[in-house]
Amino acid sequence: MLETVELRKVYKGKTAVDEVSLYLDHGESVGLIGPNGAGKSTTISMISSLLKPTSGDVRLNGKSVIKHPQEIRKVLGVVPQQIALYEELSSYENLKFFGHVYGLRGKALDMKIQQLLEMVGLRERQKELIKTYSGGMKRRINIAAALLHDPQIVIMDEPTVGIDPQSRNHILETVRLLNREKGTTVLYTSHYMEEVEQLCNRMYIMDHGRIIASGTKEELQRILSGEDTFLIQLNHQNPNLTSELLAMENVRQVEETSEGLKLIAAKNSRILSKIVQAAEGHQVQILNIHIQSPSLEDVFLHLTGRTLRD
Amino acid sequence: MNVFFKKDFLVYWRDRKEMLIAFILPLVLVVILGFALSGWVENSNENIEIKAALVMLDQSKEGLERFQYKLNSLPLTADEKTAISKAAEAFIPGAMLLDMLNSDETKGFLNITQLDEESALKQLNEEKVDAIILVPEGYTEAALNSLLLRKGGEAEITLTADTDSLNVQVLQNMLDSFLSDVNNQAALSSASRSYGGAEISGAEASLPLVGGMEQMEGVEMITSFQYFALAISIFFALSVSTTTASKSITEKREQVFMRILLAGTHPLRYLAGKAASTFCMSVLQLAVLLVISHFIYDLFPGKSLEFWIGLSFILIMLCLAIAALAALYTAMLFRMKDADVASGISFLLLIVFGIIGGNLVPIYILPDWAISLGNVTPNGLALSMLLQWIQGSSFDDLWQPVFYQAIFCVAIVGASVWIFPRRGRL
Repeated sequence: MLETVELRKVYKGKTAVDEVSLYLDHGESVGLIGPNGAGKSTTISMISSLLKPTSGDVRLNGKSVIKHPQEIRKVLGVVPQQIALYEELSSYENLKFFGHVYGLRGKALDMKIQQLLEMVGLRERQKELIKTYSGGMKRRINIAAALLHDPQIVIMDEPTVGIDPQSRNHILETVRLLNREKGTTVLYTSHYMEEVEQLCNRMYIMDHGRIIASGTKEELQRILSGEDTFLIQLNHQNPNLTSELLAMENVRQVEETSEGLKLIAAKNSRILSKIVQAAEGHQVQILNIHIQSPSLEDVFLHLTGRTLRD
Repeated sequence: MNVFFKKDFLVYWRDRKEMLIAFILPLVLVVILGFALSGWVENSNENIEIKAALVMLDQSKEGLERFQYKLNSLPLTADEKTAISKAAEAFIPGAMLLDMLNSDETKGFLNITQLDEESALKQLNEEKVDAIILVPEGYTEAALNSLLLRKGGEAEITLTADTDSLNVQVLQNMLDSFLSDVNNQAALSSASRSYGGAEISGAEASLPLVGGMEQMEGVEMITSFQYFALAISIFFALSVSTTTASKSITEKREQVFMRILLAGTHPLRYLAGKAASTFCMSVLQLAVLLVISHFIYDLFPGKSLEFWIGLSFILIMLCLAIAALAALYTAMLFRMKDADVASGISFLLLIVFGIIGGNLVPIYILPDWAISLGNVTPNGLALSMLLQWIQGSSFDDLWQPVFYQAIFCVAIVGASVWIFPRRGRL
């Protein structure tokens, strides 16, 4: 349905997006994951025809979006990272304005607005000005504004940044509803790996402007199938212990987290006894050891050497 | 465009801080400046020092004699001839002009030197005088023939100047008023002769003889409250263009504009909405401020409907120029990478326009070059037009500056459309 072909964007000699090729099939929910500055927003701007790529193409049903931007604009809804709303207008007035901009009028527009307000759970507060809303409520209206014209494809750029859990759940439910019940194709970008895991059939991992991995959750986890992840809870952290563990044979990565040490080692490397010995040697007490199957966060860490929120 | 206009207008209206700045602050400033700087405006005629050369080629006495000689040869009754002759003796335009130019009322600001034509031109070229008033040979005879006998062509006094400075404008107004007064008196004189015969002619002599003072009273009539109510209102209306641009920064930064583009809307609709809302906002602001000022300070007492129509026309032209500027600033903002730089430029232009246009300081204290420069700004031009209008200018005097204002609007709108990213890409 929608694909990018070796999309590239260079700003003042710096490559922001480098040969990005991805595709979205009809009714799919696809995740685009990457840390800040990975090039996700630039890619989205090029897909949505707002930014002209330096090279490459974006195709909608085989037709170039670069040459015919109006084609994609009819079927695309974009939820930007910023709250793209007028603070001095109520949510109803905002939706009415954007509805008019999309060419909707009269009762059809009114009905659509009420339906969307119901969907995002803010029908009762539609007369209140946006500036009186919480961050989460604003984000919900931000989504509603992108759905006024019943788009076939929705791109959501970090729609849950900085909001309360209730609004976050509401947004995730809305995305599920859109994708699973209404068949809308979704491209979802986020810092939160668990959101992408919950919502998306497939995902692309992006870093430094390039797609570094892609596939279903299981396919991506298989990248780490040759590794075990240990979560070691200690009575206190000790940098010397961390260094010693990292120097051990078969240990690939050791990371200090708020819950303890996260250690990734080659599968079946039988290092558990060595870990216990090392802890004793540094007079650190092990409170708990948990062997995890690799998460997508681990995959990301493995591929980029940093966490998503670095 | 309508939907963009409604949205922008509503966004303005709901911004309480902006509304207070737009409607309350100007009124407060008018009070403060009206009292504090009243001397700068109301005594401005004391600061006016007009130097003019008078080239008098007309001989009034000989002109009167020739007129009376010609009168005697006309087929009129003896009574009629006597009445007209007496009227002519009491009504010699050349002498009246000299009286007016050398009267006590004008001495304070008008310095007249009588010169021959060549010396006068030399002094004008050397900028020793602002203008030359030339009274041609046979002026008195021609004027009396034209005014009292309705014979011959019009007698013409000419005013020659190199620049259209405030001094020259004042002098021109004085002469216009003088000639208008002479014509009125002649008309009264003719009417008197038609209905009253010879005795009435005595009354003519008691008619006010000093033309031009009427206009000078007009110059003095600009009160500090009138000046500052107009100047401050215009400045704050001009600031609406900058406010529009600053609101567009938010729309760009928060990706609202992106959302509008994605809806497939032509970008120029957005720009047109900005211009339309700025126009309406500035019209509303000027109307409210001037109406409130009028009722509080009694700005324009007893003015005719024609005066208010002219005033409204000048202000509407100004608002069109302000709307064009709003479009330009908005276009610049979207064209430039750093929106804050574009915003800074628009704010800087606002201040510069405000100063040289006479909105932030009285125009009377500015040097001539600044006044000339101010007259190419929409606010300066509007203020200058309004001051002339209050002083009694006619619609004919307004066409040239109004035409300039229209050219300014068209040029700025053209530049805005050219600059704005009309292909719908950021």
